[in-house]
Amino acid sequence: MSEPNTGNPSVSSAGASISLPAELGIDVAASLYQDLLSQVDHPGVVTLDAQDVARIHTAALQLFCMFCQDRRAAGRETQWRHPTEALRSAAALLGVTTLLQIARQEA
Amino acid sequence: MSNIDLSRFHRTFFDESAEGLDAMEAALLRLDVGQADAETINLIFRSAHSIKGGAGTFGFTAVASFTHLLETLLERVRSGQRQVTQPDVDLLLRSVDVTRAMLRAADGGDAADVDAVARLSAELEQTLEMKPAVVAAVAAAPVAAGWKIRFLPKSDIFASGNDPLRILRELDRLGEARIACDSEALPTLADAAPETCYLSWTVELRGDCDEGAVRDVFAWVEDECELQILPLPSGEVAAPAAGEGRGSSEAPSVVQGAVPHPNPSPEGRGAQKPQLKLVESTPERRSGDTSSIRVGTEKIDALINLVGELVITQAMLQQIAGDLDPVQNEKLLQGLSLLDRNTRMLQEAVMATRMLPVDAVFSRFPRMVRDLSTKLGKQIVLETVGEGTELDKGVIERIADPLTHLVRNSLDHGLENAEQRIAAGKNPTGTITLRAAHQGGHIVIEVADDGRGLDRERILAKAAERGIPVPANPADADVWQLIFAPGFSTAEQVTDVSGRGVGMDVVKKNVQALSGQIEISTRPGQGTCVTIRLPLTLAILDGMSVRVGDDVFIVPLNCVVESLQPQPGQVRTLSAGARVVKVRNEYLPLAPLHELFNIRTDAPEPETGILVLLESEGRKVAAQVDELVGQQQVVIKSLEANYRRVGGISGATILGDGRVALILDVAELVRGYARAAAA
Repeated sequence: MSEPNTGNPSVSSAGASISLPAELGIDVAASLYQDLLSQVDHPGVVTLDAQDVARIHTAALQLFCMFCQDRRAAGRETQWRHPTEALRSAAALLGVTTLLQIARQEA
Repeated sequence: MSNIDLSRFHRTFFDESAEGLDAMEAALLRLDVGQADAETINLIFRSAHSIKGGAGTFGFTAVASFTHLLETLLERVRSGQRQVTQPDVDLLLRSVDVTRAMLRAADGGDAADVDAVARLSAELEQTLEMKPAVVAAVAAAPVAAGWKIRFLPKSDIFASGNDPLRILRELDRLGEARIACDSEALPTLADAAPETCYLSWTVELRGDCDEGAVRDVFAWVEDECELQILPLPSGEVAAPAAGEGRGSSEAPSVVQGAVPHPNPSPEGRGAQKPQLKLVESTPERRSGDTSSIRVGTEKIDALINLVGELVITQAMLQQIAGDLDPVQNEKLLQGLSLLDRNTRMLQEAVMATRMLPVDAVFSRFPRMVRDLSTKLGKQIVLETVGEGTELDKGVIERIADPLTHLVRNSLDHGLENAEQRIAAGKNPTGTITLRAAHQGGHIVIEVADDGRGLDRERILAKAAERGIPVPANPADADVWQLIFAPGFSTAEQVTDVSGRGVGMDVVKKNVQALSGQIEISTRPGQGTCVTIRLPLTLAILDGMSVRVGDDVFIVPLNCVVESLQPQPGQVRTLSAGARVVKVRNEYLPLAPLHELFNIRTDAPEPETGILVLLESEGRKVAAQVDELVGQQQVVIKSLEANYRRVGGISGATILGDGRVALILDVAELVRGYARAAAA
């Protein structure tokens, strides 16, 4: 009986991937934070697998903003994999598509 | 009877039309273009048809003519003469906005923009191929002005249950929103708190919505943010960039572009937009678009507090009246009984102003169940019962997260997949039922599933493995309580739906923080039901007053099972000095309140006093008191805020005679005895 595991970080020498769940509500912000924090300093490409994201809270998007911002500042690459329409439209509504570099990649 | 005053039906017409437009909008949003189902089309058509009919009847001719166009277009779709397209849906949605504005004007609100009405009528006519030429000319009309909105949420806005995304989405629906995010305050991830908001936004909203509509969007967060709404002078608004989608933009120029208007008053707006005319108006002017007004929660809380004081005063009068001669004071006593009734009704009415239907929480679950069941490969349906049941806004906001945990747990752990269900001889489709109902002064919310049920042996094994203390020979209720222990998880595999062992303890803490109780009932192979019992409000309590020595205590009535006077031999002393009382075939720990609170009493022995059987979390205890005084509603005053936390006491209240009575914390009392028994 427990809380959802938000992301499933998997790491290889070349890159890492965080698979994001469908529900990114405020209730999973704390665990998403831990998952992102564990990969923010990863030297390789980190892929955020967003193909399942159906519902997202501002808190989660804000965490992505900080994650992408920190990695960009450190010269590290972050990629989105299959961001869903729900995620992209939420990012557009919050005005953070550039910060997340989410619009320019194909869903 | 010859002259019927139709104006008295106006309110109903406006309210029903507003509902119709809401339904129409919702249906349009879910309409699957290309595969539009007949029922949705019918619903949209019926809404337009009703508004047209009503508008015609009540003489709002402009509304009637506009909705006639709408109805004609919809009739063609309904009859299959026309295939609905995305531009049609957009046009219909804009028509909903315009109809809403026209109705608001007709209801005495702000004037509707006649140009917008003319423009859209022309578009509708062109779509209906009536007047193809008119549109171009009208379309060249100057762009409507809009609003510049600066929205700075407080850092703890997420904790209040609000999501800025929802607000921006609603703003976006009002018109064409250009949204710029200010991310300057973002710390590094390592320095951030995940549930703190660091972002703020500037929105340029272009459209013919009024300031009230914009403010309405922020109604739920007015205490949770800094908000600035300034009119955009019409010359300042740039035409939207082509291909910009919803018009969101992050360009810094958007933030800097708008200059605050020196005169944000409605008169200022009127002077800028001379083209605005009142379309239709009833003599009585109303503010807002429905028959409701928005009142700050602090005003309502002040009212609730005052009603609380009134309840105390009323109880005081009632107490004094108890000593009066009923024959000589018959009329006074009748008046007091009327006062009692009216006070209760007033109290209920005031409480009702803070009440929201529980559907506000339930409505989030169908989508969650659909998504998660697909993800988990299970067939699950969600049933909701009693979603109209109302409870306090504050309670609603704080119960959402616990319920989400419970539903998710049922989905992930409680319900089996189709193969397992078939093998168990059950319907392959599992059911989760969310049920809400009022019971006395409480709301009871159940999250039930027809899954595999809890496994007693597995829970005990897991508890032993995790080092969670377990009483010897635990009753079922004690075993089920173990899953609320911090760090407990029975999931064989940690899944990404639920499975980190933090959750049920948080659920329990949240429910207890609301003065609620949580209970589990389960039957192997048949399912689990988690019942949450919450007070309807956190301000008033139905209590039983009991006397111990010279002091009076209040026992929450929902915890009282029965009271009895023990017979000699019914109370037994155990080896450690603890005493138990045998009630029917059950031995319950005896809790002499005079010993617990160090009070001198004339009746120290249980046989000379009264035992009140109290129940909490599935366990019982027999509290020994001197006398049962009565039953009354009490206004809860925080002891911590006015004095300090006292063990075994959850709060205090003021009695009718002005004395302070302490309210027993039954859950803590019961837990204390359970711990002592386990030791």
